[in-house]
Amino acid sequence: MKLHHRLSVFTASARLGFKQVLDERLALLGGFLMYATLVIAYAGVFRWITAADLAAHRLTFSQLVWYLGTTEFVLFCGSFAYFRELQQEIQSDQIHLALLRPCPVWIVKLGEWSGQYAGRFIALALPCYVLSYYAAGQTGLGFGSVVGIVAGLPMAGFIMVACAFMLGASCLWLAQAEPAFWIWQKCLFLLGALLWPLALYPEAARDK
Amino acid sequence: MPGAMYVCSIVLPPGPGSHSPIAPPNRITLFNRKYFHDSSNIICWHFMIAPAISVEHLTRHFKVRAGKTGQGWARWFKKGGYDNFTAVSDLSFTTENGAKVAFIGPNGAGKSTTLKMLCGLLRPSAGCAQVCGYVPWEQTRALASRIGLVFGQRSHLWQALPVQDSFDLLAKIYDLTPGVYKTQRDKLVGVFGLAGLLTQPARTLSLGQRMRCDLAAALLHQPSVLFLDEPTIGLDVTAKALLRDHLNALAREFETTILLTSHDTDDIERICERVILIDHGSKLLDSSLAELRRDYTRFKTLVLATDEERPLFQRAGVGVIEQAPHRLVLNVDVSEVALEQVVSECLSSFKLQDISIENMPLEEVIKAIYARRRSGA
Repeated sequence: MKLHHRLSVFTASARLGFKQVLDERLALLGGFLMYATLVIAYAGVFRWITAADLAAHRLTFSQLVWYLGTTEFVLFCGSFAYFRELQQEIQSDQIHLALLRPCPVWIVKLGEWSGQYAGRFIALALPCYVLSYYAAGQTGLGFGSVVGIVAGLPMAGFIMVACAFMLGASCLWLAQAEPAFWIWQKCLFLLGALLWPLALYPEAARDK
Repeated sequence: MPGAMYVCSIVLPPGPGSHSPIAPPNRITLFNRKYFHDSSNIICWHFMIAPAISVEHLTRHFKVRAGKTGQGWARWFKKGGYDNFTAVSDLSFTTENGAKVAFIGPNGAGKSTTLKMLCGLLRPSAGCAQVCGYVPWEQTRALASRIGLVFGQRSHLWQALPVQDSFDLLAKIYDLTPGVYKTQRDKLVGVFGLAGLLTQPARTLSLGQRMRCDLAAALLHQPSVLFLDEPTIGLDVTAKALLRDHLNALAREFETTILLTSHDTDDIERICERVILIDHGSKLLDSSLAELRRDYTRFKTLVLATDEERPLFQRAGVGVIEQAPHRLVLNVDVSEVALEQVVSECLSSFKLQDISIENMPLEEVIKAIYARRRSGA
């Protein structure tokens, strides 16, 4: 199978995923409301930390809110349901139809999910930015950081959907993909989209 | 190499203003597509014709976990072994191009396992097979472009998307050129009556509509062989009849080879010309539907509606198919007993409301074959 054929299948799947997300406006609204609740609630929690404590770690309140807003934005643009979708297809043998096509399943799936990620990214970027700005009170980030984040977000999304694919496929060996997902989710919490930056962790945990 | 195979050459004049080869007819299974332009710019096709499906001594064993013996805690510490289970055993058959074959058997007979091996999803333990000239489990991707699959409980369509979008994506997956795709899609939309369904999301379609769309999706890339696994499962009588008509129209229009597995004997009667019967993974019978009927015309079905609530009838050469309040269905072997004699005995034994004589239904024919083989074994 030629590379340009694979690319054309990937882009066609992505286009469909993109279109599908934009058609589901209520789901987008629900996602945004959930995001808003989370950011506003945690911004309230961050206010309890005194400025002096934050300054000791060379952090500001707005930086914390922006950190939370950005990492949660990546999670809300993707979906934890992807791995369940693949698991369900494998367990119901629906995957057989996809396996018996000239193009590998992963290309179609990653294309479709990447398209959905891109759709949510474009639809939610502005409202999420405005909300984070409102919650943080200022941008809190320099120009260089903003450019870095914007460039990193598509890659973060692709890594997320690729992980979701591998998690879903793990049910081929483990019968259920949930245990692998739980481990991944905890790792994500600790190592990736941290709700608390490492700087705020207790000294002992931070140094390890 | 299993099955009969012929090496052929066709010499065609060049198409107007084109250097590309003229597409070969669908009935011919090509697996060595070579062509060249000779000095006078004449296109020569060199190819081999192979049967659509050719299976020789196909066998598939599965390892299944054996149950642990012992009781209580002792069971936990016992190491469980494995048993060998043979799903398909020494199966051989050949299907010519354009044939419509029913592949039937009871649950657990090995139909799905055979189908999975012929599609390339499973590798057999022994034996060989070719579909469209490809070895399925070794050339799965190449074969994928030549076969179509319709599984009654699975769908080709993306549920959240309009049917048209699913078709567009499938065209990309099968690498169809826009022209070929558009022609084939329009043809299928006409054959299956899908004009009003293309813009609807798949999840909003009824089961019958979805099956028609699925069938069209499986045929977009013009497969030479179509595997149908319970295509009418869950459909109502009207939708079933419609789907069967569509399948027959499709076989006429595209000359596609059909391998159908179904528990619905009406599907078999209305679509297929040949029946392969399997049980416990082995072939019991391979015959044309007409031959099967002819062999079993010595059996007649006598349907009686009686005044008696529990009609009973016993006689040599007569079997009871169904016994219900005020109803009795008998299977009469006319080689053993004259039908007139049975009718006259029934008339004298019961007060009849109604009586009808029918040929043995296919379902009963199949049951009789199984019963005969089992008693023979």
